[in-house]
Amino acid sequence: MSNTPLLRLENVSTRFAIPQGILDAVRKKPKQYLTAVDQVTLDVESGDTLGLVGESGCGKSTLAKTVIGLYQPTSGRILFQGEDLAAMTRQQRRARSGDIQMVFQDPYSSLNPRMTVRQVLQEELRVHDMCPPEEMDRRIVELLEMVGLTEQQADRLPSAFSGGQRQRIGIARALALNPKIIIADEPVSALDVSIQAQVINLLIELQQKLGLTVLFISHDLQVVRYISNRVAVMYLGRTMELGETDPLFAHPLHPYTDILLKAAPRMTAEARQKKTAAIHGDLPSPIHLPTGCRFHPRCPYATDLCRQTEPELREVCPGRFCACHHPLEGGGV
Amino acid sequence: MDNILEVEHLKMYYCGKVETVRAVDDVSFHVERGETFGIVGESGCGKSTVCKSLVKMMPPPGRIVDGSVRYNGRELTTLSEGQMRAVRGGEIGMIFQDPMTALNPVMKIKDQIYESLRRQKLSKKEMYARGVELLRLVDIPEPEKRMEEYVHQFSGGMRQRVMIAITLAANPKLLIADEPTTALDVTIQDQIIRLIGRLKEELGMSVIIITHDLGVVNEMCDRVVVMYAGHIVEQAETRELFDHPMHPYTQGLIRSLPRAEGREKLEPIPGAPPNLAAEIPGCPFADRCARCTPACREALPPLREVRPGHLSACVHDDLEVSV
Ligand SMILES: Nc1ncnc2c1ncn2[C@@H]1O[C@H](COP(=O)(O)OP(=O)(O)OP(=O)(O)O)[C@@H](O)[C@H]1O
Ligand SMILES: Nc1ncnc2c1ncn2[C@@H]1O[C@H](COP(=O)(O)OP(=O)(O)O)[C@@H](O)[C@H]1O
Ligand code: SF4
Ligand code: SF4
Ligand SMILES: [Mg+2]
Ligand SMILES: [Mg+2]
Repeated sequence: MSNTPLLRLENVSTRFAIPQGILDAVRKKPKQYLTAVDQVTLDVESGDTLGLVGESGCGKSTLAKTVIGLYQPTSGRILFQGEDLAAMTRQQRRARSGDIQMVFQDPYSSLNPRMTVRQVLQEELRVHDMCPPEEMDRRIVELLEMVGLTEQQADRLPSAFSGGQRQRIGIARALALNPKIIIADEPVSALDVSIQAQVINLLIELQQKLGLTVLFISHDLQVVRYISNRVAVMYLGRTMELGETDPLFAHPLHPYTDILLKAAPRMTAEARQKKTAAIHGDLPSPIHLPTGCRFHPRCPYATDLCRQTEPELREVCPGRFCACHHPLEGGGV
Repeated sequence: MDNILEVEHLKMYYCGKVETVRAVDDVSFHVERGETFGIVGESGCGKSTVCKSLVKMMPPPGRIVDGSVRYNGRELTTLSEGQMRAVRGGEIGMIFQDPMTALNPVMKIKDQIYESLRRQKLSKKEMYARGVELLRLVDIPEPEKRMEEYVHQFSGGMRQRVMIAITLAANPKLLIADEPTTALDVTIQDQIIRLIGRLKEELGMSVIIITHDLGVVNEMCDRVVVMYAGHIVEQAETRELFDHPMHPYTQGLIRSLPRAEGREKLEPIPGAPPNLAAEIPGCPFADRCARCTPACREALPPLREVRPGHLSACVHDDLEVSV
């Protein structure tokens, strides 16, 4: 991986203690842990849109919250422009907090229902000392226009906006601090497709205009494919595959990526012929992970080696990383 | 007669104190025996309301204001609640997006299946055997063990399977599934889609699938209606709809989705759906439609045949565009 990416995660793990019952505590049962993010290593270059995909519970949101400092990683380094955010004090971190901003999935709950859009943006700008008072109104109009809203809408409460508009407000709030990176955690998942496309196009436009770097989290492979130039596929806390978008989708190396692609419902005539599911079995418990490769109980290619030894993420061919003992030849079918 | 269900001019309004929401406004369609019929549309367009009104499960202040629903020729809208309950627990089965709302958290799985078997007057032993058989039918591993468990011990996908098993226990002839896979991961969604397809064939059911996902429609349905703002705007066989979408709304929906092939720029539909509490005299899509003409706002364009077997509710008839 290259020299000084804008953001680099090195073996980042975030672990949660599972709440114990009183009986277990009395019996001195050992505490159980859930490793939601397990030794993730990632580079995000300036100007990249890195897509993070995976099924529910694979650790996408935990990873995002770890990067913005809502969770402290259990181990590993989070290097932003070469500085380790994980090792900083709260104060140092706060001073840096404007550089990495987050847009959340749920435009309904992420806005205070009693604050107008103007108040939301004012507070954001004031708290971080981003704007002199006499500039405030101008800056707010600028932010609103950037996300396709108008000044007339500034004095309305969130309840007066539709889902897509609220997501625009969330984006304006994230942009208020002139961030270098935007982490968007399922920003369009709660929206209808016709509105989804509006917000996706807006993100792309802003990314190009402002030179933003984006970490785009979604469970929707086609959305990720559309918006990202690089993609990381996660499964139960681990990165399974990482690489440039087009080759990854055209020829996935990891059996899990391949299966995800085959499982997603499609609009083609061939998709109607599909009679059997792409994969059997459920996601295992994240507390009691399978031995060896964590995907082996569901993997059609699993061997004894897979059941015993956990594969490392390694560069299988130039620029393409995969954590599998038996990467698919030339990618899946 | 080969329609298992015939719906005509159905209107279901939420008649609240301050406003009336016209959630289903003059909707007509039929479901052929043995087919999988899809209702697709964005959130709030009235899909769930349609399917609730088919079995008279409207939450207050919902009311069927007009229209008829005939199941095997029998009018359902005039049945008493007691008669309707027998239909729901019998010939018509329902599954929902969130199985937790329909499953009982403090009852063992087997007891919930027994409840659904009650009308069949089986012995305890027969009920147990049937329960195990049903769980096996929906691909639940170790069904004997699972019979004794509670829903909280099940994953999301397993809960949906259990929900399906319980519904099937009553031997329904028509299965109505409201967004059965929306809350599930893609790999599990894929499994449930195939499962419903297989069960339909094996048990000879007719199925209504409600979804907002065009991919799900394509993979599951024989025929489909597209709903917008309480109205049906287009109706066709599934492949016909995808190959020749005729209504500007359907075309817009397809163009706003990223494709698996290629990376054409997404073309969103501008604006947002109208408020159903306000009266809309003309075409409900007019405010968002690039082809809108003054005539569109005067009267609601009726559904009419624009290609063989293909209905669209738009004033233009030259609207076929490649998407
Ligand atoms: N605060 C917490 N305490 C304990 N466990 C947690 C906590 N937050 C997340 N987890 C667990 O960590 C794992 C990863 O969760 P996370 O929310 O990061 O997944 P995700 O990939 O964002 O999923 P989704 O697609 O559902 O949003 C899950 O098993 C989850 O239950
Ligand atoms: N209990 C209710 N009371 C009042 N309005 C409702 C109620 N349930 C749904 N609606 C309204 O009816 C319309 C259709 O809703 P619904 O049938 O749930 O749509 P869908 O299933 O397509 O998302 C929406 O405008 C919704 O807000
Ligand atoms: S390591 Fe083995 S089990 Fe894991 S994905 Fe690769 S082939 Fe499958
Ligand atoms: S009737 Fe008019 S407004 Fe409605 S979809 Fe057709 S062209 Fe558009
Ligand atoms: Mg999440
Ligand atoms: Mg619904």
